[in-house]
Amino acid sequence: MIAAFRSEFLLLNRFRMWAIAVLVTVVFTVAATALLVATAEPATTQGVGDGIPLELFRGPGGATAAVSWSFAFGFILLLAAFTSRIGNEFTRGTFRTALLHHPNRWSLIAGKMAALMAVTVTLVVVGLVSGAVTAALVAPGQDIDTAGWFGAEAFGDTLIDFARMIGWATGWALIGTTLAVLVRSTPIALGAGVLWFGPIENVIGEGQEFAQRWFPGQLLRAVVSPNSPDAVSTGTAAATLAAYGLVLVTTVAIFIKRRDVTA
Amino acid sequence: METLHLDTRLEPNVTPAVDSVGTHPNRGGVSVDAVVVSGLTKRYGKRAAVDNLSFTVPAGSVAGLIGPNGAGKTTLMAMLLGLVRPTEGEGTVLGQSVDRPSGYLGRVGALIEGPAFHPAVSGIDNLRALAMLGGHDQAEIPELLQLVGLDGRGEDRYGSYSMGMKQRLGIAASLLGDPELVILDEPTNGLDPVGMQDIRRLIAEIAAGGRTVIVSSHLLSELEQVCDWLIVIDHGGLVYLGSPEQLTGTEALVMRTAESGDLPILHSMVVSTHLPVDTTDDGIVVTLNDDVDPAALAAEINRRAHAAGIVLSELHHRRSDLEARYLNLISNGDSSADETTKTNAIPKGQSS
Repeated sequence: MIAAFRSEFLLLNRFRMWAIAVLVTVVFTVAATALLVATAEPATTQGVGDGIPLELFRGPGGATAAVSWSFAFGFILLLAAFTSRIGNEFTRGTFRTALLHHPNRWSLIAGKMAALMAVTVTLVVVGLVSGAVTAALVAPGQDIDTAGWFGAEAFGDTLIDFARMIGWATGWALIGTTLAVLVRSTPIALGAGVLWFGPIENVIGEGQEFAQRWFPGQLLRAVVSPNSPDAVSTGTAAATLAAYGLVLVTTVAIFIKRRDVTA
Repeated sequence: METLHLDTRLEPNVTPAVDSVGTHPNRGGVSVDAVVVSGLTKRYGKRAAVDNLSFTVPAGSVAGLIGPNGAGKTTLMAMLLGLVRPTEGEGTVLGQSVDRPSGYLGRVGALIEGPAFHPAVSGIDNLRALAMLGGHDQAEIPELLQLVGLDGRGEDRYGSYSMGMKQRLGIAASLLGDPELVILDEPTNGLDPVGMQDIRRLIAEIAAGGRTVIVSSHLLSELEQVCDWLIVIDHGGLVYLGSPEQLTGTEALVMRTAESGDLPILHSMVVSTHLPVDTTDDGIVVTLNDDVDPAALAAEINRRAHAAGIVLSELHHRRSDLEARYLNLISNGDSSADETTKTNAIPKGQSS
């Protein structure tokens, strides 16, 4: 798996890739965070479906809380990244080429995913920093006191938010990888993912308690937006997602091991 | 009548020069078959892509896997490389079962279903990534790029490569780790005649290092110059296995006399060659073997006919037609392969 990780990271670790990925991350995080902070309202005046509660920004961890929330809207980027990267391995035949040099299929796909996750973690850090700075800049306009945002106590909250984001990213990475392995076609896998996690989960599941409890997209949102209305607790979301993750990993392992590589 | 003193002894129904352990005639001394396949079958639903295929590839040979599009060549290669699981049958590659490709893939290089690399990454980085995967020495990459004629272009993005360059990079990838067996699936696909010639030259270079090479094509003419072992398949089944010379069929001297009454005299004259002689309505056909120099024999026959007062109206060397023979095999399936060609070509103890 280490060989597969190093090999994939060598392919990923290019200036062009980093430039595009960092630019997209910064633009998205800055825009989403600024919008969230600017549209935040006191909880007392909020109704269902309104913006982020203003109170979340007060005190330690306020800066990264806004970033964490903004990430929830970026799932589509992460899903697309993993689905297309792994899906292209099949459509372009590069997975086949790799297997000729590394016949352990499970180790190969796990190494590739781990390398992609390494890039993702780096981008999460970039997003966290750029989002926090953005929040600090926008906050005074909302009369939010940022005095407690950069103390020692805030550091602990930041680590928690960072862990939430990594958990959220891992979930979407697993979903994207599983879709790509099952379908072996980037457009179809991405189409199916966007259809389910977009309109089906958000429109059909709107306001439905079972959707918040069982739909994977809603559970992942609860991880990074723990205080949003209707969100299940982090513990419940994490436990359910862990079970889903096990199912996905098993599914990928079975399909990748048993299926003929014909493309 | 005086006997013609030419060493023309030929056993009829010649057997292929493969002994029971598969030592190849052209690269003797190697005593292990690189590939042994027995009853290998791959079905997709009711359709058999590869149907009960049995053959061996002697170590050190350059084996051509020939068959029309859809014959099952790629499926067969994919099974040998562990990409596709056989439905039935068994096989070994470099002495290891195809059920456990991890046991031998480290010693096998392959290009299958065309070159497939990351388009946004340079050729050299694509090779580095594969070398890392396989645990190969990356120091050999510049040498490989030079071997395939890509030196100076390794830093370019793979996506900017021409079809020929992509094929070359694919072949370079197949040579990572100095494999004992190289499997190339239609490496000349999409290439112009010059590119095809270059690839043929490259295959000869690869084989010159003592490696076993299996190369597939749907065109026999592409491979007849580089292969010393042929596996012809059609509709998933074996049609021919043996040397190209065996597939070629026989060469012959064809002669006719100006006077039909001279034909029996000429016949008795050429029978003394101990070569197979057939008489047609208006001529005589002498089947040649490898030991006979056609020009020398023709000159001798002409000289003696002249001495006997026989005027030859025709005397020519009929060369074999490999392509026609191949087309005849695949267009008519197994039934067209005469029993001599089929059974003699398949090593002992095996059948199609």
